[in-house]
Amino acid sequence: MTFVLKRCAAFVVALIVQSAAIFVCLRILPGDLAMVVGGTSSTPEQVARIRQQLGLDQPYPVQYWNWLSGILHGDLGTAQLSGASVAGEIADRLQVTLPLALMGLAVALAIGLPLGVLSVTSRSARVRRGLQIAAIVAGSIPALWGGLLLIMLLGRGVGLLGVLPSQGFPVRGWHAFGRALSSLALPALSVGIIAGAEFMRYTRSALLEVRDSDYLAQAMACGMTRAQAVRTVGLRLAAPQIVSVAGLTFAGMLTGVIVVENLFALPGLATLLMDDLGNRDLLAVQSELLVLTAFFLFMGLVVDLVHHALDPRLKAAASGGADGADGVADGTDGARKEGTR
Amino acid sequence: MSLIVHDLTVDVAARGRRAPARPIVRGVDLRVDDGERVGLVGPSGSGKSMVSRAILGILPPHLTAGGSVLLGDTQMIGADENIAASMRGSYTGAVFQNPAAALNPVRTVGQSIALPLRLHYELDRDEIRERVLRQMRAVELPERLESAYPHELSGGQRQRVAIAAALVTSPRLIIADEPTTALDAVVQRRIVDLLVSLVDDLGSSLLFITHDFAVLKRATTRCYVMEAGRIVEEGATEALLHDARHAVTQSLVEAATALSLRGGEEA
Repeated sequence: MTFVLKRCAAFVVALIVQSAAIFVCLRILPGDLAMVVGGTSSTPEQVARIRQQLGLDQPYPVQYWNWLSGILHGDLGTAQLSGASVAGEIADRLQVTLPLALMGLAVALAIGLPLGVLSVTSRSARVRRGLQIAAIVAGSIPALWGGLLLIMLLGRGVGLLGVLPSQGFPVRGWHAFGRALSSLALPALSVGIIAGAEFMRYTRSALLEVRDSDYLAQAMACGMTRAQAVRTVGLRLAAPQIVSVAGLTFAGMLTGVIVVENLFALPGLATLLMDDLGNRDLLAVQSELLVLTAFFLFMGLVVDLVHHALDPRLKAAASGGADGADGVADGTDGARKEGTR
Repeated sequence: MSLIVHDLTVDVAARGRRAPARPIVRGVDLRVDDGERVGLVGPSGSGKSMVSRAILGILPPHLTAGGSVLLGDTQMIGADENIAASMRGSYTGAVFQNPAAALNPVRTVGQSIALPLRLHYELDRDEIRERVLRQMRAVELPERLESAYPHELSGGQRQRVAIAAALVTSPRLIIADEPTTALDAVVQRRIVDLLVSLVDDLGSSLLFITHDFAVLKRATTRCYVMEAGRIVEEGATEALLHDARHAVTQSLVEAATALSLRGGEEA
């Protein structure tokens, strides 16, 4: 329990540090929001007035504090060009990006896990080698090219089997559920196949680490076949590593789907960030960056907590190591603690 | 007859022309009668562990076994994987060298001991728990360790858990592969005595693999000596201790005698 509290505290501290870093970096960047809002024909007085309205004339610590306290009240600021609230825009865009990342992760897991297991347990050396090569090839495909191939294969109107839409997202969003889902199918496949290949390689190497261990020999000696032992004991022991990769892949997808969002003309989070950066709207950008950073840190937190739940050895380590061990030791063998493993 | 091994070979599988098959074990013959305790002794790297894994059908994938291994009426060499697996944990029980590296680190003591029961018998929870607790008493582990994890135990306790898991289904043949090597001398003796008394209580047979004649003397009545993948000598353990013919046997006996300060007789 103390571990959970400590880890959550670390999350909060990291987030505050990151917010400061984002704030400082964006103040160093060139470009003046007030001038952009005012336009090229505005007078210096007008620009000064806009700057005052936006609070950009105040000292940096005050600006920083105003920003943070706004966030604590749920106010991420206002996008200057559109006049919409940044929180609202992020929520809008997340309706595309979040399902896209989730579907991509699902595709990646559905491909990577079973093939990763097969690449270790298959009795045919050809199958094992073939899967290994496939993983390297698929993992090296750039998202842009992979997406284009998929469009040419499956895209409606242009593809060999034109069954799926390849451009845009329905204006009615998820109210047009079927259309929304199908418009995310190709993008999710493009990111999912590539991440799936990565997944397969991680699963394979994690399983290879335990394959020849006595953990599997013990399970087999108790009555499992080799494949059964790899699937149950091996995968379970590899689970913490797989969870790490899954968590980071998911976080990476949320922020890293810019190429795919552009290719498939999806109004997602990454495109929003790029647009606002182009507009020099640093008030919107700083809030958007903070949300993405918070998400990244949050996934790290989740991964760590899941790790902790998956490995009983970590609990002993967190609660002061020897305490846990001494608690159950008894005199049977002189209560001797071997330092081994 | 619990175990008959005839002309057993273990090879590193050939990988194309550049890496031809490499022999590890050559023409090993050995037998373990019902209720007999037999030793397989040899220096490190002599192939004795590979013999035990070939008998169990759990060689690493890059090794292949030939010849014949009969567990009761079942031929293990070339057997279907499911048939081989159905013998392990029911007809045979196995204890490995380092329980810290063999017991599943994310399963409790109770779960590890229950595994062979769950794999081979359709018992309900209470029956499994009852048999697990009975087995824990037999290996002198306190009941409260049932929900402990391996990393919370001492080395001796861990090996008791491994022995409990190996014996919980009352197998006909127990194969112990250097079960005391990772333990210190005092704990070694207790574990060997415990294993021997439990095996005798069950009326099962024991194949005890070690490089240590001192341990062998406590655990077995007859033994085979291996060197470089072959059996080089066999006979009653007591006789080999006094009258070893082969140089390897002599050096192993000498090592055991030298290690125990009060001389080989007391070991």
